[in-house]
Amino acid sequence: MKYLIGLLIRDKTAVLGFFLFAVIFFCAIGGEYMVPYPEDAFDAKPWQRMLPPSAEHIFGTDGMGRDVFSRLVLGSRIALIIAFVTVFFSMIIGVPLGLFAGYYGKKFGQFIMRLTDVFLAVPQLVLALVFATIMRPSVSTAMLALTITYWPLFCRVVYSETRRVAASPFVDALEAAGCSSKRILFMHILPNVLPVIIIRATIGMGVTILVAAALGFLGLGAVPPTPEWGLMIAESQRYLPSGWWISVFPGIAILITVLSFNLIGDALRDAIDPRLRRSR
Amino acid sequence: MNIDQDNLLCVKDLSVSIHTPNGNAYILHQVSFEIKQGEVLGLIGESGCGKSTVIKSILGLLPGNAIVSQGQIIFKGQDLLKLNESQLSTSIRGQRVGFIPQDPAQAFNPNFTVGEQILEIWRWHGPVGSRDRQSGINQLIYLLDRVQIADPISMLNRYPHQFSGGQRQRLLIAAALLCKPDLVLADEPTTALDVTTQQQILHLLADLGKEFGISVLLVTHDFGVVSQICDRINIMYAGQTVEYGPKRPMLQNPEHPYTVALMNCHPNKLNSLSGIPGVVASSLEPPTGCRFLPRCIRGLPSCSNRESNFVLRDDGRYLNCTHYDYVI
Repeated sequence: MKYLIGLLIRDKTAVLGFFLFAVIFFCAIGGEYMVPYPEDAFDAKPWQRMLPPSAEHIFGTDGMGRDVFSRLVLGSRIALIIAFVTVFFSMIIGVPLGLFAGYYGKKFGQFIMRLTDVFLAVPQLVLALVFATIMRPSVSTAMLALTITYWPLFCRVVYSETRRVAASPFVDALEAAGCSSKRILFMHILPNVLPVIIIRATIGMGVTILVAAALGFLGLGAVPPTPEWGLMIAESQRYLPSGWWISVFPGIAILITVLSFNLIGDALRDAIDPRLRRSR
Repeated sequence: MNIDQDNLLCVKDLSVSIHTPNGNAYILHQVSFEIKQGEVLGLIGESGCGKSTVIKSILGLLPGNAIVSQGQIIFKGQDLLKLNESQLSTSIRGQRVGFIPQDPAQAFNPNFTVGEQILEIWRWHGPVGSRDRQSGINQLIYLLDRVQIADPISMLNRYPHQFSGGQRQRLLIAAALLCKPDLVLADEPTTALDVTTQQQILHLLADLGKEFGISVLLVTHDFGVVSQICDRINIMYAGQTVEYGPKRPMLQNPEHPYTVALMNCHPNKLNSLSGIPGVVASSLEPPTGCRFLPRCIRGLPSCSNRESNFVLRDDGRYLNCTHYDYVI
């Protein structure tokens, strides 16, 4: 573990990724205490509408007169919750199913794969839209919809990777050494599958934030006046191009968050694979 | 074939078939051999003759669509074919029977240090009462020293990719010997290595086997290897034993045409590299009569009429050839 941390510290892009993530994380935890106008998350202040960036409002104010910087910082909490919850539950469903489907039996594996085909045949955004429409639009509906549409992707990559690893000679050697199949699956195959899970998860965090933003943009995710980044961009379109700051800064926030997840994911993947450590 | 039951391992009339969409493939047909305590038996034949299936049958690791239609595998008085999966994995595999896989490059999990992986075997299969880590490490270090790995203590913390092919194969030998098995199954343990390393590894294996009183079943297709370290030889063709007996008379005076042909393939003479024309008989539709007939230089039309029977010769050798069947 110490060794792993040492490797990550030496990796410059990893440090950048962790730094960005730490900033976003602190914003998510203590946003109320860090921003100049915490009440602006929800309260409209019509007397200061559409103010361009200034010393008082560094990212300007939006069409309702709310401070964009304050809303951005407070919005990070929702973005992170959506990303983590969605990816966590997708992993809980997708990873074990993929492992079992890849390691045990043909019929079960085929069944699971056809099931994922059904889910994958419908574009993620469309399925999420359907769910959001059936139920009341809210952040939790968006998370549920995203989870339901994202687990098949986990399942697929874990399945194919499990099959590849399970066919490798070291699994035969372990069987011949009297290793139980459960132990082979969880202690030996799972660590080999871990890199693709991490990649999938970090890409997933980024994609999830983007799709959640898109759902918010379409009015099917978070409801106003929740400070959600996608929603902020959606609300800002009326004021373009003159009120550029209202949409540009949330966009940059989404970009930085997605970037930090990807940097961390790449670094973790390289650090846990002993064969890639050499190159550092 | 009559076989003495007092051996360490006694494979008797083992027949295995695999169910495929194209019909049943008869992989093994009445294979019989025995291994005495401390003896090295060479199992020789071309690819696809069923050598690896013999090993998988002993370990109980045949694929799900395989059926053992006949035979017994008596190991220390008990029939391995009658044991269930959990009995096999707790008391046979890794503990009483060690296995050395074919390709050392891929025989280790790349994500763990070799020490961790080998000691895992000790944790399940080490001697009862001393399965703790430290005694496992002590035993492993002793063995690594014996398989001539320098600085064994620091080697335990290395990852598989940090070793050369020869070193990895030595590690695998140490892993197979760790829990002091009675029998080691070596499935072409040196095919992935260069010739010099092959020699060293095989002699190491044979020497350690002799020293610890461990029997070795060595699968190979190299007669050079066999002539040096084996006590007895079993030659297989298309799932059948064709010639089986002590090494010396077989090497000096091979009788079965297949044995002769195999020995001629060994490039030790000045002649050019030669092979046996044709391919191994299909296990889906084995030829009637002698299975080697389509490729046999001594084949007669009468060979296709009937299956041959085993004939025991004066020098202790079993032969499975219609020619000799006639004579007696």
